[in-house]
Amino acid sequence: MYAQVSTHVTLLNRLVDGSDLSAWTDFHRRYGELIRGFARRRGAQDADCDDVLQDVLVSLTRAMPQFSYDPQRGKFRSFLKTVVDRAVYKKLRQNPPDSSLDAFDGYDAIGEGDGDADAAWESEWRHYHIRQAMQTIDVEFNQSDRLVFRHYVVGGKAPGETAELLGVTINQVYKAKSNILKRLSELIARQVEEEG
Amino acid sequence: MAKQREIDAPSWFDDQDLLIAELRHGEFLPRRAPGLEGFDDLHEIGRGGQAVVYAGTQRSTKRRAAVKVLLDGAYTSQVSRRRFEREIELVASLRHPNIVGVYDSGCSADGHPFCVMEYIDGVPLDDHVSGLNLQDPRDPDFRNYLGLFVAICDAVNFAHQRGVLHRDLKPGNIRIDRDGQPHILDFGLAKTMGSASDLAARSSVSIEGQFVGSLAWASPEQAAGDPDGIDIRSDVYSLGMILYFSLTRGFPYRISGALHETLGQIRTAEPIRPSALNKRIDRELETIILRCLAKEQDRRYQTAGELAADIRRYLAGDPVVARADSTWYTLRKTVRRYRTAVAIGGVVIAAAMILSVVMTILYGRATSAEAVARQEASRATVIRTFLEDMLASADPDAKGREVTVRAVLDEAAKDLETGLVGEPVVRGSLHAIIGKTYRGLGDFPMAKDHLDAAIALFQEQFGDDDEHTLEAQGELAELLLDQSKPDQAEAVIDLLRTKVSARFPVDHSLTLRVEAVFAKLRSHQGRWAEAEALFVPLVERRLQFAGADNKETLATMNNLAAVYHAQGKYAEAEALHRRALEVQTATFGKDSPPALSTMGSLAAVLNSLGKLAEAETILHEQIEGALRVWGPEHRTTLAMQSNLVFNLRQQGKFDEALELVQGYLPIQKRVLGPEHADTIQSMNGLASVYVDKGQFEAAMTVAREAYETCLRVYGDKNVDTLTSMHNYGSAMLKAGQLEDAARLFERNLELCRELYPTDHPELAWPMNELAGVWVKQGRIDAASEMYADAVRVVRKGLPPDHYFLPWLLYNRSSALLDAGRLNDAERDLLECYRLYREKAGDAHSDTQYAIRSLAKLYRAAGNVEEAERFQALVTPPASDSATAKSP
Repeated sequence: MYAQVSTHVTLLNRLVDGSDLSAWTDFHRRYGELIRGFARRRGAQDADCDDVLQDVLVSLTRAMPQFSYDPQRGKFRSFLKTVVDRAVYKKLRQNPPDSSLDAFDGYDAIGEGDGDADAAWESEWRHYHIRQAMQTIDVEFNQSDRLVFRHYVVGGKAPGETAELLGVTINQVYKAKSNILKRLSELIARQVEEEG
Repeated sequence: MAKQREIDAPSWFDDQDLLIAELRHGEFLPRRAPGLEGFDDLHEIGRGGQAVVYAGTQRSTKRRAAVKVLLDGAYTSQVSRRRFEREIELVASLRHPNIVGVYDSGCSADGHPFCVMEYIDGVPLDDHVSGLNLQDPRDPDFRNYLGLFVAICDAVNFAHQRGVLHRDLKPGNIRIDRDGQPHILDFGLAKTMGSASDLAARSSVSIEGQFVGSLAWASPEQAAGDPDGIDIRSDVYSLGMILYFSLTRGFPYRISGALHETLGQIRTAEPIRPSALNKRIDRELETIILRCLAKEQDRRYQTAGELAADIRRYLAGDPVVARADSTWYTLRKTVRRYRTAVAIGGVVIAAAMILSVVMTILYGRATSAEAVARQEASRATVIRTFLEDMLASADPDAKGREVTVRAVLDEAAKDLETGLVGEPVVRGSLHAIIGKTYRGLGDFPMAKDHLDAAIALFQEQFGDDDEHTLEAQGELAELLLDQSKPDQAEAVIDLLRTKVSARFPVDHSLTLRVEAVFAKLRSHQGRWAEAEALFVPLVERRLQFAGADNKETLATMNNLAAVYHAQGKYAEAEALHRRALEVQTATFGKDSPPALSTMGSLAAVLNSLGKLAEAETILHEQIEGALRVWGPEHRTTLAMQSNLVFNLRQQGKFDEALELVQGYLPIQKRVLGPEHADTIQSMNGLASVYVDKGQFEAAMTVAREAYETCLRVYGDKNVDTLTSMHNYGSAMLKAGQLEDAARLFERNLELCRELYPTDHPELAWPMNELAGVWVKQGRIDAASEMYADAVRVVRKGLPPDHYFLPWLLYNRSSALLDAGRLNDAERDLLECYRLYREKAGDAHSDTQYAIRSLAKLYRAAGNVEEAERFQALVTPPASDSATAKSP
């Protein structure tokens, strides 16, 4: 049901095809938060983030039919970054952040090795991968394991406390952590291979 | 089970600690809503530009609730917050099973308004729909869905009756619970946001991340940004849009462009018929949907209740109330919209021209198959939308630069290249239209490229014998005619006619089209009688099927008129041209290309009729219009000036004529090439003017060049070749090369007789010339006979007051005088005098010429009385009275 790898490939194929409108909805669901997150980090206001997203999707509409999908590592990701960078830059030119215009000048380097931008992109991309992979986790693992993961691994609670809260043994707590992390790692590895 | 990888350092996802760090850093924990008390387990379930929605358990009531917290924006002021709260109260009073209940509202500690709503465990409508099979009306899913939709309409109607508008209806705002019941969210919350920019601000994601956001569902009045124009019927529109999307998975307009484009689309673009996207939707349902989507509010269902009722009727199999709008009606409106040609800084966008091309596509088809008609209409709608985009984009940009049709077209051609449009049929059609438009602009190479592309696409998609392919080939044949390549055109047309007659009925639009091109070929080749026989029934059929104000009909009328003209049927030609011009002016405007073109044809007929001054006025008008529309370098503008030259010469305004032709001939040579028919015609014109002015050497040079080019390009049986031959001969004659001239004129007359029908009035001129040469050579008898023939032909085929008759008579009388046949000469001269006097009075120079000749004749005959009588009428040449006109 959640064949992540083929979902990405087929999604791109559907976008390239150009006639499948629901492909855009899917694309938005998948990458929306990534794009908005990046825009926010780069200084766009909340409302602007939506504009950026809209803009990115519009640019992609134009570009996708020519985009020849090549499962080289990172190709889609860097392509997407270019588009997003441009959209963010455009938006910021319109509404520069309240901070001084000096900060604004720094955006000249956008898209050309701006260290901050690269870091932000990398960060958002990692979160994107985690979110994607988590969807599969949600399906593959039972509620108990998932709650363990949430409280113990992500929330940082002590193992004993977690076990008591959820009514499971400590062994089960450790096992859940190990299994889920391993699976996450696998899933993300495959995703990264596909999308970058 | 990690795969082997080439990189050295472990990636962040390989290393457990790094991965955990990311998990924690990325805040994958649910966020607690800021400053909201009284809720347990509050976690974010959705986020948009304006609000965040959380779900949780209300501690006081132990029930699940959704809490929508509005972010910064229009709500920070006291006024707007109070307004918001009042709205909430109103909505909270709506108690309906299908409207999400509002429990509470308030303001969080950090100043964010929020409202607490019923939590619906379910999915948004678009998710629900994607799991259904709505493509097939026979599937139970389909009817069930319509029933669901009716429930939605009823709920909306309920709210309307209590004075609450929704204003933001879309699939994202409708949730379907586990029992399949709909629940409408966010009633009335949009009221404070009335302007288009606010709408735009909300145009991105809503709760469930619907890509298209609110904008796609917004009604034209909302897109126009007029808050007072929004009423119940705006919600009806949105409901229609929801239905459209559910059943077709598509949108009726392009909604993925820039904001202003999308708004424009919503306001003005005609929707694509639902059946174009989902063939199984029947006419009745389609009509219901389209009625909701009408641009004018008055033409939609006036309440959501009416809409629900019609759908119920449809489900029950009863006739529905919605009447299909005739596409002709909507098209008429579109035509009127383009009637005022958009003038941008002096460059006129020939919108009518482009639109009329579209109309041709829509109405050039007179087939009765409804399915085909619908498909064509929808294809045309996509095309028209594309074109309207194209035209709409022709606005001066922020810097105020002007945009020409050419630039717009180039842009559109580029868009087509980048594959903005996917479907091959549409792409082919667009190539065809763009090719045709380039042709209209005179850019033949570009036109050919696009037509070739269209033909290739159609051949690939549909094969060689398909209507689309054949039609595009017809377009190509016309282009070849424009390029003066009649042989190539004939090859294409022959093949077309065979194929078309084999596969299509006699009154199919494609048959008519191909017949029209064939007729044009014949007229291009000078085979007038055949062309007439082809055009006459074509005009009748087009009048019948498409009406008089259809571009194709008018073009055919003009073509027929030109054929009449060429055959000397000047009265018929004039009447037909005037009629066409009237309709064109009324429909497209005076400066429209079709009207301008007809003006030229009319002037040409008036010229032939001898109404020279009238023709000159029209020609001036036409040229001014052409300069505005096409600029000085367009083939059409150049050709029009050529016509004016001819007219000026006939009026004796030689200096004006010379100046004019010396102005545009170099441009023609450069732009069209030295062998183009128009260039040659201009050269002929120039030579003629030189002759008129007595610059014979210059005339001979130009005339020879023109003649030799004609021979080379067209051979000797061609009107242009003959004209240039005649000019060359005249020049030779004037330069004193008698023998050569005589031989040339003899040959010329021979060829003219082969080309024109017997006794065609056009023959009079070469006859006249030849006779004149013979006179000079002393072959008086032969000359007299030739003149007699010429006079006969003129009396037969030209109006009695035509200027050429007295001219001929005069020439003949001279010859007769030289031959000593005074009585015959007298007879001719008297008639000549009478004609001139009737037309222009005694004082006119032509009449004076006759008078003086008569005086001289009578003196020679010894008839003193008559001689004196005429001598008295002679006015001295120095006086102004010879040129004095009556007031």
